[in-house]
Amino acid sequence: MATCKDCKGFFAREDDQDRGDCVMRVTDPRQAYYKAVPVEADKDASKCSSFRKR
Amino acid sequence: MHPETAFGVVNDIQRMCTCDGPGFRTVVFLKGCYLNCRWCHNPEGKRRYPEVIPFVGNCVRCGECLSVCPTAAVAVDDELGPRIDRSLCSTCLQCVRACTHDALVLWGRIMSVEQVVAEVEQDKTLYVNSGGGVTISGGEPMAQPDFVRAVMEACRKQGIGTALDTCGHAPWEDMEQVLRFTDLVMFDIKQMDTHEHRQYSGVGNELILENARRIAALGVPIRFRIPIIPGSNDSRRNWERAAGFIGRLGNAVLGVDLLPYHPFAGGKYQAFGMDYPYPGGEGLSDDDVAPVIDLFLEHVPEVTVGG
Amino acid sequence: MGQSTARTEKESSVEELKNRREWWFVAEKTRSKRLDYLRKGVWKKGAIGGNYAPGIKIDLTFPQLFIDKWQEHEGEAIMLQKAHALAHVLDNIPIFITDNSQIMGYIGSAPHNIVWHWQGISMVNEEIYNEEGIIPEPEEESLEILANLNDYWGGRTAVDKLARVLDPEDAVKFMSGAIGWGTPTSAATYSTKDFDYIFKGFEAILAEVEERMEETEEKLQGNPSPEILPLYDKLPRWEAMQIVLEAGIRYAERYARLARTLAEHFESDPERREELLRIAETCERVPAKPPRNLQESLQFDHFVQVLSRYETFEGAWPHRPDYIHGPYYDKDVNQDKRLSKEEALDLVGEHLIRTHEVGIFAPKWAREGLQGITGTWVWTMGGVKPDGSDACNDMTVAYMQAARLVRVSNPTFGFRWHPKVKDEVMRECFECIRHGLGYPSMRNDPVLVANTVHWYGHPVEEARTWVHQACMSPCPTTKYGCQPMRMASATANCAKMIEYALHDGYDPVVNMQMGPKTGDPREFKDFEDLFGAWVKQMEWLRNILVRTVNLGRVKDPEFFGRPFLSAIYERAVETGTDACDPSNGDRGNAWVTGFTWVENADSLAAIKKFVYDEKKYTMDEVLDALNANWVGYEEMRLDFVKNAPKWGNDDDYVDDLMVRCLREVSRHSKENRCPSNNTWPLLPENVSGNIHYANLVGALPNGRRLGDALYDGGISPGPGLDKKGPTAVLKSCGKFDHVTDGRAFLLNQRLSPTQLSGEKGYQLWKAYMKTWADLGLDHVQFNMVDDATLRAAQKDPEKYQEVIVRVAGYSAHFVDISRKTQDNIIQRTVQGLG
Repeated sequence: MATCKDCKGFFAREDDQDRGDCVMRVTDPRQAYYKAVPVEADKDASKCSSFRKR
Repeated sequence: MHPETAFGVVNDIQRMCTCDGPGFRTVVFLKGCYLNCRWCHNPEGKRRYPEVIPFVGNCVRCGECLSVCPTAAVAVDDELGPRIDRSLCSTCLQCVRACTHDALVLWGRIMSVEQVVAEVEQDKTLYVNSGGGVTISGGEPMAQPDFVRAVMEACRKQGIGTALDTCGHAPWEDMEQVLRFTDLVMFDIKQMDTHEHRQYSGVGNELILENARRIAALGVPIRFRIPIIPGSNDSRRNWERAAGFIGRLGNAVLGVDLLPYHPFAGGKYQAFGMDYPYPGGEGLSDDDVAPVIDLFLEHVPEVTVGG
Repeated sequence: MGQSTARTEKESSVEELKNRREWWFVAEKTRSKRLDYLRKGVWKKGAIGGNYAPGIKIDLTFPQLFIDKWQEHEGEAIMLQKAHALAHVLDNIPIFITDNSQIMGYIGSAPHNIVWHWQGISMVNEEIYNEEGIIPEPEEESLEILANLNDYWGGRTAVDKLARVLDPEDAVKFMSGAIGWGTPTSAATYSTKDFDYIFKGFEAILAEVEERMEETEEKLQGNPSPEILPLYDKLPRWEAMQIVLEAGIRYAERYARLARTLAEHFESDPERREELLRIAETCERVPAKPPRNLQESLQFDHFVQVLSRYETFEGAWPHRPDYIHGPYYDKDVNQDKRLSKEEALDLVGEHLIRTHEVGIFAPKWAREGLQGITGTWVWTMGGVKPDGSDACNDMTVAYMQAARLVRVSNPTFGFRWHPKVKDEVMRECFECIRHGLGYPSMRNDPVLVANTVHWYGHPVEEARTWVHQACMSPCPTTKYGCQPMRMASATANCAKMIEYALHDGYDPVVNMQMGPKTGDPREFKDFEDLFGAWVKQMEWLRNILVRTVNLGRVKDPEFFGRPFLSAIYERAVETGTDACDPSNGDRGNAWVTGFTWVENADSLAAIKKFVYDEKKYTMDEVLDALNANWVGYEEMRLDFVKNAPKWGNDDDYVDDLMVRCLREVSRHSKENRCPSNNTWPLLPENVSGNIHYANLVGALPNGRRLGDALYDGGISPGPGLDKKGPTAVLKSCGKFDHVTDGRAFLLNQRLSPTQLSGEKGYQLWKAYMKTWADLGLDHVQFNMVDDATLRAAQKDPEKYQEVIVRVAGYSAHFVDISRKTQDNIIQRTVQGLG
């Protein structure tokens, strides 16, 4: 099972390797930005459309 | 004061104007003019006496005016709206009273000197703070010289600055009376060639130019306002002559205000149900005006565009 | 050579654009690349004509995160329960860093999202189902989430709880929508903030809380006595403050972490990498610790604004950013030279943009009134320091300059004018007005400081710290001066005062007995009888509103709860109370917003003149005409419109009545008391109440019919009725006292571009301002007669009778001339040949 920590967009927290940020590049019709969502390292990513294997 | 001079015929009083003289000004538009310029922008100011002028756009064709007019001077055309036959109209104002839609409006209120001054006085603090005052315009104010003199004298007593906006066509004796109470003259020069002047404005320019010389000689501060009318006075030769003439008038001349032709008057003629005799195009661009500015700057200390 | 030519060309084209008054393009050409990107990147959140722009979606992540924790902590003290829920949101809501941006923080999980605050009134929550376009895809799923939220919150919102304790008769009348507006809860509110206190840093506040808690726990271990009993309730409040302050620090650290990640793993441009590291450093520093430089102070400020808007819908944005940030600008730009002026301007411009992009959902009827903005966010500029000296600084100038570069409709500025303001600052204000921004509005500082002292007894040094609490009302930003919630929820539809006086207290529009029975006007002997009835209706209307809001205020800590606001309110931290608790030393700063006020004076004057003085019509005839909504009485109506005296024309007949009405209200304002035992003065302004109430106010003796828009603002005369010009308006408004006759008075003034052009324009405006100040008026805002005004005049000529086409030697009122000429003039006006 692919988990978040296997993804290129996952960045573990220094103080807690079990948690981290899922960082994504988003371009909307007006602006471009980087987005961060907190995730658990072991979260199931098999259904995640933005998953990119490390 | 002589009773006849105590009253004037006033078309409109506009407050907080900034175009007709320094500072904030109250402009008193008087009725009546000696000239008959084809491009005239204030046709409601031409006749000396109060008159009823229709605003055709406001008319709802209710016919109330027809039923009250005792001389049958009003007609209401289905398409053109209300028309007034001046030869029949006695200015009894029955139709104005009857019209609840402001389609028939009286132009020219008879006002006393006191009434005018009372309205001018309202903005006194603004004049003091901005260096403004009253401007008497028209029509042609010099068509009511005694009234103008009386208003200006009263304003001066109140410490209110006075300006006269004139076409310059008036007997010198009248002019001199008014100038005693005038802080600034805004003087129109339209055309240096007297024949052309007669052709477009109805009178020659000899008296006008002579008055300009005399005002300057008296030392009353004077600004010349020069309309640029394509097809009438817009020639290099005219501007050279005008600039030369003004340049020789000496230190009383503060500057020249060029007033490029604009077609806004057309809308007013239309509103009044009149034909505009000078629908001369769309107006002038900055590029058209630039060479005229340069030419005048050789002779006068300051040139503005648009007054 | 190429470069210098290019610059000259750019400069000359900017000059040309200025001449043509194409200010948007002037801004576009003169601002930095960064500001250009950020300005164009903003999703406009204000609704136009009630509709949100395509692509704007409601944020559903926020309420879902909130409710998860909220339900988990059910049964705890409300402040504590809310603190847990908020902390969970702040720890988990998606965050983002926009390209080129330097200031962080947004309310919602993506730039195109707006947040929905659902804790106010469940009745209003239901309206969400009727919204088109803003429900996120897939719609069905979203609607289910919304339905679940609504099911849970039905009966649990602040106003639902309040309705249970309100007097039922008051509740029905209040809910009729006819007499007033607003929600007496801090669920829809705004709060003044004391940045002198907040900038100590959250860690310092946490230490203070810690100390208080220890002290209290010690007392609770001591001698049992009635005195220690209230302390039990304080502990959970302090705990709530701790939770949100710590969550606020963690929220900032999330941005720091993301910025570092981007710098280390994503960004290839070394300059941007530097910026990202600076952002990281900034967000690690604030809001935990005091700011040390301009970027940190702006960032701290913005985090506080964002955090307080996660807690509740803050409809206004009381703020004085030039005063708060001025010292940091001075240090960075003038002393340390750490920042260039241009770099500082980028930060200031972005501060305006970050504020502008904030979007909070409002129901359709409310946003229709807001005309394209999210809320009335008036930032306060200029003014004086507590010692009375000029407070204007380089930051005042920077905000004015940045405003012209980014041209946002929100926030706007209100400038505290006083006689010591320097010419260079006045010129900056003027430039903003001339550029058609419509702001700053000008406020008369000495008058308003005196007013603030008069009504609430704030010490003068504190009164001098005032900010616009909403659009108009000054409020000090001190420990006991700060207002935690919108006491102006007492928003009165004042036209009802005269309407009820003429109908024996009966409301002919909503068909119910509202006010007291003050008698059939046909039986009135004279005008004094009518005026007496008006006074009774005025008192009744104010009483019911003030009563309701007072109750809402004292119940707010119980029904809503403000952990974050309490944590940044010194008096709440000190006493372990909710910031909204009026017992914690709050001095009160309440006012009644008076919508549709001027109709009273005009209507009373019309009846006084025509019925009692001239006896031209009988009261019977007037009432018949009003009951028929003037239908069949058009001649008579026009007589009332044209020939009855109208406010704003320097006509004592009606102006004296206006003064008399204001003095009656002022007397009554001192009888009405807020929970802190302070006064409730009237503040006439309209926002958009004149449109909102058009169908709720019946025919009036000023000639208005049911459905016609009411007058458009404060003490501004009716549109087209100020026939005597701007100075007559000033003089009418100068006839009452702007210190003791009310709280503040909104005045609109229209100016034409030709009046403002060039150096002469500035000198004239200054002269106008001097006259305005000499007359002791407290407010004026300038609207440019631009093409939009003239287009409106074409559509609605009777409201724009006074618009004069200002061209030398040419005399015409705009509405009098033909359509074609009007079009021509509009074209000229825009092109600047006028």
